[in-house]
Amino acid sequence: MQENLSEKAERASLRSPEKVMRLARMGSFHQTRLSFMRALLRCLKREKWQFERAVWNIDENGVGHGVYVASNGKHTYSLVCFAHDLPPEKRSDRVIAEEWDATFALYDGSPNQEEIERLRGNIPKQEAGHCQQTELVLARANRSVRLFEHVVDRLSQGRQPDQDMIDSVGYLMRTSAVYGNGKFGLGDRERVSDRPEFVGAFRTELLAVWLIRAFTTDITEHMARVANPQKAVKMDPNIKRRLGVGNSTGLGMAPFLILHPALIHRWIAARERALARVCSLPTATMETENQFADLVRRMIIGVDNWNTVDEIQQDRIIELRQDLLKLQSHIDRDNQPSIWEAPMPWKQLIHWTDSALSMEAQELVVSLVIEPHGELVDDLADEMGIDEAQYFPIKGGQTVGELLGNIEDHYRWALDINYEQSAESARFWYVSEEKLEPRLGERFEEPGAEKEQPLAFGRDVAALYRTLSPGDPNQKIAGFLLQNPEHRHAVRRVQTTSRLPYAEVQDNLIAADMRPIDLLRCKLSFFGASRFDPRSDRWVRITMYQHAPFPDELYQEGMDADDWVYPPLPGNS
Amino acid sequence: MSSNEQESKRMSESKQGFFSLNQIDQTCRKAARGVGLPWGAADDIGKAARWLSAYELTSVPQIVELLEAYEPDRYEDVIPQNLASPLQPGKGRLNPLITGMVLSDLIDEIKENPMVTGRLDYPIFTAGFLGQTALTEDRAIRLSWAGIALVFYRDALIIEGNRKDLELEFCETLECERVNFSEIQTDQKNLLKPVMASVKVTWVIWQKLEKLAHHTYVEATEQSRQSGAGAGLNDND
Repeated sequence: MQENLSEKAERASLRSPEKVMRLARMGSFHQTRLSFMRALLRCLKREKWQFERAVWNIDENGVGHGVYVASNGKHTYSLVCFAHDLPPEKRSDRVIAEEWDATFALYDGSPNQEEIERLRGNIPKQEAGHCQQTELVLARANRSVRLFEHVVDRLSQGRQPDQDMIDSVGYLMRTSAVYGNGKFGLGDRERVSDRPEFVGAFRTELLAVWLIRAFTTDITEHMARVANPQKAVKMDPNIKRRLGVGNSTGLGMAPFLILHPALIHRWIAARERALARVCSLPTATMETENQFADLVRRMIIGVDNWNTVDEIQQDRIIELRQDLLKLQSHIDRDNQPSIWEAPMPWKQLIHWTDSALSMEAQELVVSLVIEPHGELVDDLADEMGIDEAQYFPIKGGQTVGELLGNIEDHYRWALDINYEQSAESARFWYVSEEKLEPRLGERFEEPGAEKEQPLAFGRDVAALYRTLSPGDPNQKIAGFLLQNPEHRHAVRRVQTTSRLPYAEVQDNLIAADMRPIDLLRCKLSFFGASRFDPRSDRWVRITMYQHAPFPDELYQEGMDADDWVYPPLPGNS
Repeated sequence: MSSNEQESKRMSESKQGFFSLNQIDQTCRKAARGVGLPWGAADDIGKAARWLSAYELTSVPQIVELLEAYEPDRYEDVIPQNLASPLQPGKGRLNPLITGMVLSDLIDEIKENPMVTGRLDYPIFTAGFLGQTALTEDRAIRLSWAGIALVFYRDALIIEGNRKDLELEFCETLECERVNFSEIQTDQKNLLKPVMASVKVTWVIWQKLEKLAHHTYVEATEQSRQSGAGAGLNDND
């Protein structure tokens, strides 16, 4: 197929994998308009989905169940919520917890009473219960105790909650796990992957989270009503919308990015192509220029509400704020009209950020320049899924010489590392027998390195290269693998990366100074998360759907299903 | 143990659980690694087990049996000695997991003439690897042994011949060839597609599989709990 001019321009403006696929940069990613939450809400509105709270059977202690139903006439999904009365000493976000404030299943269809009872017997047990193919998502959430109590208290007195407190926490409940894709017996991804609402990635999970958000505000209002039936009021919608769903994510999420190279390529490539499309525009319209300036102002407010206890991230936020002010001055037409008059102004702007701003700000500007160009880029959101099976088979007919060439082209970064140095092999990824969660160990201090998970692809491809080099360059890979089966995972990896260049993180994932949180943040940014709040270098809290419309607001007049990520300017709530 | 307890143990062992294809894939992958196969091979074995389960061709008990019988020290004996057809073992019979991988790796190299193997254990397992590979191939793949043939084209499968031969414990020879799917005449009832349903497995078998997978896990210590996962925070805020 012949490439047309705009495709050619897009390709010419793409940032290279060597630049993008570095942990420090990936760990600075922010949500974009292609993020899965946003693509999902746009799709739900476009496809005219309807929502209702079909069941609310919760008692005065806050115990019982509720069902939220989403339907477009063709498919129906039901979020079945179980509310529990959890003693404070049992409240933990860790995977080792066994009880939660609330547990959830997203059910494919409308469960009858018998199904609800089956779910009641299993969903509150989470991993220890049994799920079936009809359950697409399994999740749980704990309260933010201080905000939950504050809001219940205020509403029960007939007053609205304190907005500053709402903004400083950002959520009433945070999920500590949202499982999908066949985990623990749940429905396999293939069951729903051809349904238009679930193209792309993780949309089932994010539909569940959006409905969970409605549950978190409903249960809060319910508890206020129980406390004082005469005086209690509902939350003001403009305040309520400032609440998202929190999420606490640990290392469990990190291996996913490494073990799904084809999918990760699609995510990154979509984001980079969106940026390249914008950068290849010859001019900026006055409308997009103004929208961009507004977005920068709105983001400055967003940064002011971005709180973290993590010192490194706090420093980055302070620097980001300064960078945003610098950006604001740089794009001010009164100061520098030439910025907008120059050819390819968006490309010039991105180029300027490379030397003028911090990495955190550079990647935020990527999101901001993409933002006003929905018509140009939104189609890419539907290209963020992939049939991974297409990239799985090994091409055994390839020769050793060809594979060596592939390694030299795509893994130069890995060949340059000396893995004999202890700092370069300091860590190992493993799965703990306890709850089967991924962890990161110190190779030279802890037992278990012989059970290392295959995530150190830089090291393993370098080892493959050393084994291949002295061999016959005409030997077929199938023959090489018969004699050297321990290199099979590395061979598959190189063949995949050669076809999909954004598939590989170009950093040593077992180095002493590697920050796993960079992997978590990258993945969460694609979900559409904001307010990253690291709790250590391998544990992060985030907020999802903050400022987004609730299900009952999606079709409200004046409500944009998509313009919610950046906080509103004062007077525009 | 009293007879009542024995009966209740027997009942619970025969009780079936429901598992997703993803669970079959992931647990077989870990079990394959657990018995000493390299990670790359374990990846293929997980996918093959998933494929076989989706077409209801073989069950998890047989996979468990095959993995339990795997002896890393005999690897050289049970693999093809070279890539020339017929593929021959060093000693005894070919391992179907390794042979399935080799046939799958070589699929683009099989052109006019079929690739043939010598004596092979449990030939049905090779179907898992070729079925997975066929998903990405433009030309169909035909696999035959004894009185049965399987044709794979994308996610469609045709089974021809004596279905009892699917269960053979070994065969003298197996043939793998490329065919044009459009030229195949078949009754619609012979055309199979993957089944998207939970896979039923008895708990006793699942526990055996888990036991093999368990070899890939590291024992938890207080240090790993605290530093390995990066926890130790107050969650009541």
